[in-house]
Amino acid sequence: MSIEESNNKEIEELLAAIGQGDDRAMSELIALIYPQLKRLAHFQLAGERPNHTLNTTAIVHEAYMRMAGRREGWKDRGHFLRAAATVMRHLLVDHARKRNAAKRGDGKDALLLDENRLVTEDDTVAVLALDNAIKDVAAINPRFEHIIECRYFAGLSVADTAEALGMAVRTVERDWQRVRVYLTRAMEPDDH
Amino acid sequence: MNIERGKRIDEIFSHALDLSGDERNACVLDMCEDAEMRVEVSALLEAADSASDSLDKRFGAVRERVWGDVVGADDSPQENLTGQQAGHWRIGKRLARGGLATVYLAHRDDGEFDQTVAFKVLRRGLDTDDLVSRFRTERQILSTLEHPAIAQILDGGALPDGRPFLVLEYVDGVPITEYCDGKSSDVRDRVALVIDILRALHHAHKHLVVHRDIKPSNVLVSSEGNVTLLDFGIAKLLDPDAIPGKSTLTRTGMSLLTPGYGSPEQHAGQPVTTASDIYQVGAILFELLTGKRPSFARGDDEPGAPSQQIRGSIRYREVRGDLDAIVQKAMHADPTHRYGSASEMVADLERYLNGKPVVAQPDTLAYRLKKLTKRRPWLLPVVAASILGIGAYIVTLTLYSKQLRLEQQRAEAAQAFMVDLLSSPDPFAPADPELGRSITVIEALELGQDRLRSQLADQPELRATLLGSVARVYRSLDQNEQAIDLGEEALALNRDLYGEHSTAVLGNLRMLADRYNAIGLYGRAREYVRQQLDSAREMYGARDPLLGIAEVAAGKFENSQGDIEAGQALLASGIEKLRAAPEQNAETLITAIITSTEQEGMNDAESSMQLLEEGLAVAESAFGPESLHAAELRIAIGRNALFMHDNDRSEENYRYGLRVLESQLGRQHAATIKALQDYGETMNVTGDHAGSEVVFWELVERLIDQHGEQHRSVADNYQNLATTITYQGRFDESLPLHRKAHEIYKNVLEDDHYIVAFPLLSIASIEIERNNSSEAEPAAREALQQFQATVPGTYLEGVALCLVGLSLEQQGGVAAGSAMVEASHELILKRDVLVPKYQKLCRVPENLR
Repeated sequence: MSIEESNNKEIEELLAAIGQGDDRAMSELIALIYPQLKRLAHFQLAGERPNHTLNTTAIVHEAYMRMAGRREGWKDRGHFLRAAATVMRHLLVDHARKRNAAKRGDGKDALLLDENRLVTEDDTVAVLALDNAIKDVAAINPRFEHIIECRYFAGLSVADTAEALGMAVRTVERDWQRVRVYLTRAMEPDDH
Repeated sequence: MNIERGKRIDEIFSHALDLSGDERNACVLDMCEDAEMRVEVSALLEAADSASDSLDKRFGAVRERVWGDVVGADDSPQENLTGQQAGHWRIGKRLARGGLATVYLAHRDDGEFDQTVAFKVLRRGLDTDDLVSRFRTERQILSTLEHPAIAQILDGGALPDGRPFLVLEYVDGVPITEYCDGKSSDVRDRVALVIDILRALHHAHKHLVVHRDIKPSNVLVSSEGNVTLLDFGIAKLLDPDAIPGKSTLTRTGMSLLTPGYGSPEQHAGQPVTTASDIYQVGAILFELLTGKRPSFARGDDEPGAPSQQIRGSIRYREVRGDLDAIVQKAMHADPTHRYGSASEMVADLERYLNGKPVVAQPDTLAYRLKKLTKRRPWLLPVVAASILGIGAYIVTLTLYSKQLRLEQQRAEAAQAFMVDLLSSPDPFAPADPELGRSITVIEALELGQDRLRSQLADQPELRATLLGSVARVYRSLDQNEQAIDLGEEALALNRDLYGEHSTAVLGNLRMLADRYNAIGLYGRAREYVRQQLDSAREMYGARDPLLGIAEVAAGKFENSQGDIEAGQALLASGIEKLRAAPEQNAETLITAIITSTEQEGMNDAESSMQLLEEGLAVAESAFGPESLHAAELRIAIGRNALFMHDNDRSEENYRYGLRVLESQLGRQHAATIKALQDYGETMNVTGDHAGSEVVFWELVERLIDQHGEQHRSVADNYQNLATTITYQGRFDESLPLHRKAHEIYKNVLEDDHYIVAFPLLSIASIEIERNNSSEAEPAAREALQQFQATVPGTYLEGVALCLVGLSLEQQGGVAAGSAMVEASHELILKRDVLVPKYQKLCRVPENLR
């Protein structure tokens, strides 16, 4: 497992680098976390949950527990959660793009959905639509992007999100109230 | 809209959200720069107010699905091992593919055997170091499980790429739910199948393996109706958090649970014990009885009575009541309230099938049942043993205590036997010493059984009796070992938290003393009994009923150990204190009174009677006149009345008590039988032989009904019956009955049990009475031999010696005969209260006493 390989970069550094658009840093982070997440996902699948679904939140938590003991710099749960959220978003969107491109010819169809259309067989489109909408929302306040990553892509609770982003719970709550509204609007068909 | 504006709007939005009503409107008006902004912000506020979380939920579901795709898609291309060879095995077609492992059919391929098996191998990519090492450890543990209803691990190994595989017994069957539906099984059949599951589970629990994933798909039934439990311990394998060998507690990762089958503690991520398996079996029983998986109302950890799910169906009446109670006990949210072991649940289900009262029903009855049958387990054989064919049914303390001692010594000897076995090397012990110790105990018992079986192959009854002792030890271990472990832990904790002299510690000490007593560690038990008394003395005032409770506990123990003087004193002192608050301490007070008067009754019937009457009053007011407590007291009163020569009162009370016992517990219940025996014996003591004859015949019949003729209790009562008929002088009738008793004793008891010779004494003394010394002598000699071998130096040996002497005298060997009779005096006098008949017969001088 790649985790066992020696790698001295700490998550914080990686996250910082990613924040500055460093793609290599993203790959490294993914390489560190993803196998663990995947393994846990396999365990869940092995348990034969109904509809073969997963409980992502549980996976993230278990992954933290598993990895926290092993490396310096991973003790900070908040950092780990943030990293996991970033990784998951990246992977989900990446996957959705591939899938979507494979299905449609050009992959450029309407990515704007309203809330109702999220109930669709086309989950990949939903993922992409959400990802797209984030840009608009993040324009208002950059930290909204991270909140969405934590809440939607990693399924973290408000409390965990606060920990991940180093914010007060109350602030996250208040932000979240507004983010939801912005997000919903951003995903509605644009009629202006 | 531009970014600056957007930020501004957000700011206003944020402020306004915190306010409401007029304040909010004012804020919007104030802060917004223009009308457009006001409109915008108002729209946002409206949207925020009416927001639902459906977007969250929907996206959550999307996320999970896509994630599943992400991880699934990343799998290496499907591998198919069909056709390959692994060790002895040739892999056949693929049977199933799970998330973690794949199962194939396989056949042995070395030309030696023809065996079809299931071949299970970890999927590629999942063979991390820790998983693999757990695989191996589990294989070792699982290889110790050998039970017809458990799919056995036959072999294991590694593929060329290093991945481990397991070879398991191939089970051809369908899930239990399907099976029962397909055959439209009736309730009794379904219960029988669940009993099969529990038996398998019991075997595994004894080996400290917890299944943790019992669900219908893991319980297969073949077309012949044979149950097999699958994936045993595999759940343990899958859980990365399980630490092998770490006592009996394990943790199941939340991610593994199939909803509806996991126990509450599993869902909460708490440590899981054998109780969790019990819960899951309860859930299966639930489903088999109702056709539905147990469902939980919001916030509940318990699913409600099964019968409620099937109102209106024909099965409703069958399930309602006992089965409801059993299922609910098994599925209780608190693990400590469930059945303590799989075998306990089996016992209750069997009681249900046999129409007997089940323990799962409300506590008071269960408590009383336990109380009555377990309280003095030695008394049953001892009571019978007191019916010596020597003419007196005087139930004296010293006699009891000596025989108790003998019984105890036997128990201790059996224990020693086990301890010896424990030191034999254990081939199955895994690396962890803690686990090794536990397995050794169980292994040793198994080894003991094997030795017993092989060494005593031609003495089935002896073997049966010894195996019975082994089983008792097992049962005690089952039920008490865990209790003791947990109890000791609690004790240490409570000592830390509350100090030595605290109610918590007191409670722990008493419970532990009780358990140690139950498994025969009397030294330990005594220590704890003393400690709780010392603590109570520290904690409570000199008159406090709570101190009385401690004294009663100590007194009971001392009596049971044979130290009657100390015991009686403690009981008396305890009763004195408990009198101050009889209602609150009814149980203890009653117990103390009964224990105390049992010992004293003979000597001081009057004051005993007063005490018993007091006890009856307490019992009637606390539990009602038709309660088992009251019945017990009535029987004690009946006995005591006979000592006061009040036959009418005696009969009245005995009948009352017996009636209650029969109606509450049934005719065959041990307590009812014992009470009947009591009645019979006491009538003998007071001379009502005709009455006791009737009772003993009744007993013989009931016991033969219950156990068949070859049973210890049947022999006891034949002997009792014969003695009472002897008393009435009808020797022709009684001799064959004595012989019958002797014959049964020889068949069911091991050779070195002294009771075997009792009927011989009766026969010898009868024949001497009839001047049939040629018959008397061999009987007496055989008895003498038996007693010399088993209980030398006791008055039993003395009596036998005397009878041999008398028979010699009768045949003319006066010198030798009288010498023996003389010699016997010393031994006979060892008994505190002489039996008048023998005193006379053996010419024991009065003034020697």
